[in-house]
Amino acid sequence: MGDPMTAAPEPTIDASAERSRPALDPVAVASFLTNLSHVLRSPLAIVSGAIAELRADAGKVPGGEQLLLVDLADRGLLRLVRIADTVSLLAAVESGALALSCQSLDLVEVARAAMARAARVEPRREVEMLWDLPQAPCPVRGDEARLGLAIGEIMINAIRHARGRARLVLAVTPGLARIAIEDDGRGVSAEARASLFQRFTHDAAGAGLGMGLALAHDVIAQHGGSLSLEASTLPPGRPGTVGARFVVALPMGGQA
Amino acid sequence: MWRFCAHGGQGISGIGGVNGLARVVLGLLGEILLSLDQTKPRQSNAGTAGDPLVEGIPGSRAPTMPTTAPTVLVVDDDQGMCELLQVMLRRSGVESEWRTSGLDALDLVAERDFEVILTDLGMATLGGAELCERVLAIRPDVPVVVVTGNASLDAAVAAIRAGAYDFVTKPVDASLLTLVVARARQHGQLRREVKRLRRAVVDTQKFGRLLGESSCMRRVFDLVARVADSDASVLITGESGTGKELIARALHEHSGRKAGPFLAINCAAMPATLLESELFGHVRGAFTDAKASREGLFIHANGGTLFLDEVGDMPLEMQPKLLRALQERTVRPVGGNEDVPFDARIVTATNHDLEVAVDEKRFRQDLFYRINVVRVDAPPLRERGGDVLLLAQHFVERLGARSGKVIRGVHAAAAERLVAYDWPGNVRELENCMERAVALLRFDEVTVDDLPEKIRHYRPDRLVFAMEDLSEVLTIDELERRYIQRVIALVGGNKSRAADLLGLDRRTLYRRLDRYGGSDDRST
Repeated sequence: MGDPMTAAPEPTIDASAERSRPALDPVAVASFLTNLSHVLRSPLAIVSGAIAELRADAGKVPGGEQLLLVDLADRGLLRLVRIADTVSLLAAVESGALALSCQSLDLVEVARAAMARAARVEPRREVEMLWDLPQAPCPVRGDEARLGLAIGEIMINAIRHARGRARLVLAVTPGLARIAIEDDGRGVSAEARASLFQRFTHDAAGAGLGMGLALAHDVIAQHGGSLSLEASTLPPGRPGTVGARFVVALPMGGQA
Repeated sequence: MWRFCAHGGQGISGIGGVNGLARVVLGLLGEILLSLDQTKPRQSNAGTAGDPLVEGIPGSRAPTMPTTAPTVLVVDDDQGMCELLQVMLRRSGVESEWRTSGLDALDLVAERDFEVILTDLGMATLGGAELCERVLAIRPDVPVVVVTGNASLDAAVAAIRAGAYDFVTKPVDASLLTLVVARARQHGQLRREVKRLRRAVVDTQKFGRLLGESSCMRRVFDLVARVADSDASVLITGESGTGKELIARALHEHSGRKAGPFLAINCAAMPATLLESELFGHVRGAFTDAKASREGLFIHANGGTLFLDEVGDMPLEMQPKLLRALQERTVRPVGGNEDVPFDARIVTATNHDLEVAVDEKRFRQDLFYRINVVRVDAPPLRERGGDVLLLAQHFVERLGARSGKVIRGVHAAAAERLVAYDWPGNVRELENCMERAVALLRFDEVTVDDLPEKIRHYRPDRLVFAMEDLSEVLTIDELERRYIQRVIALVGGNKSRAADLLGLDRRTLYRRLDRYGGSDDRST
């Protein structure tokens, strides 16, 4: 029996026990992220359907404000879909099971679609978007959805940081397709460069999830390509600034 | 061919035609889905989406100037949020402009004046807190409202520290946004008004010692200027504390008699015999203490103006003597046998409704007609609008100088309370309030904390039926008092008319006013 004069010991928190908590199982995390992505799809599909119906009704009302509101909802939804896509991709990368569904693609087409999607996800009225795409198809082998998402993420990043212009240029050299996506913003600081393609790193404002560029880097690497940072060739948006230029290099091949 | 399609399904073709840089403003491209129609040959894989593209997009939102100048600037690096806030504001009747970059917003603020700036807190190029500081450096009077996705107290504190006027959290509730923006606009207008008044107090053309810019005071100035030079009898009416004596002085100072004396006497303050002696004088031996003859005020005021305040309270037995003096332009000293002519202008004032007093035989009708040749109504302070702040600024400066304090003026939040209050004691109450504020002053501005509690916590009458919590509940007596006073104000102080409207007989109305102290404090 314990001494009745002695108070029961206060429960304590074992700091070392806290520290020694087992790390999360990467497989479980990846599984969770996959499930998260899946469970998001249902409500997103419902909202998407509802918005489509509302759009049909709003289109009948003159004046445009209803349509504008429906469009705002639609763009918001597109951003949620983007997050679900990103989580799904993260799950695949984290689990080491990023299975690409490769086929012959026209990179021009992929870039154009990615650019349009980016512009819709991250519209900015003040930013003029420029592009220069070759006339001829640019055949590559790749996963259309994943490659499109990667290019789209780089484009979104450019639009977000641009002062007045963002540009996508696709150029072909023998055996290699190069997509340069640049902006006339403030560029990437020296300290940010080191962790630029690492997951969960943010810009100074802490905006976004810190996954876009990292996942784009991984997806492009999986395609046998590379993603690098250079100085923008666009005129500075503000005096004394040099924007960022991300260059995607992909091996050409396959039939578009 | 490549075809740009607006998401509504309307196709836009013929974009570009030669190789080169294609361009489109992103807000517009946001409307566009690029699709490939592979059934047709490709003509161009680069092009320019210029103006034709804009025209073809249903619901496209090319930046256009609204019909009225935007009063609110929305800043958020999320264009969707900008557009949503713009719709919300437009639906509450407020036009806005927006920018998705803090730096662009700063450029715009430097060029144009906005009443309110609504900014996101976490933005990529320039954060909301820094934007707030830099905006205030350029436009210190513009209220900045921060919209934050982070509802934590820290975010709110950071925003307020940066000088923000208020904050709202995302998701933004449209009715709350409307309310906050309306308050911010009012706050900004008050800030500007306070600043303007600082200059106005210096610059204003003062009418004697009367100060005011309101239309009702301008009418008073105009009337006083027109009658000043005549010798017509002037009756000044108005609630206690409205400055009736100052109007009388202004009449004197703008008349040809300004070199002569201005004498004032309160007719309610003394019994009839003493009042008669004061006004008309007495001869030696007229009464026990009359050791020597003495001239009355009528004679002392020769060449000048005699102001008879509270004439409505003059004892009834004294009234015929006053009437006779005014008719004959002579006075007979108490105990004397001879009439002595006088040459003074007589100006009277009352806070009674003399027509009612005549009806009730408390005031002689013939005397009323004699003194009421020209009537000047001194408006109550609650009807003088911006004069409240003008006068407050004037008092603060005067009292500050007297007490050796350097006071910039009245803080906007305190000004808001001063404007909301109904000032039953009129200018006199405002002066007392400012005297107290100056005495208690801790900073170089009068703040809300320096104001009396009844002004700090005053709730306008219109809120009586819109009360939202128990702290706003009024007693039945207080409700009745306010209601009666409001009705009296609406009928211009005519208590007979007010009694009719209220379904009370006039005596009951007076009794109630007496009970509330309103008869003395406000309308007598």
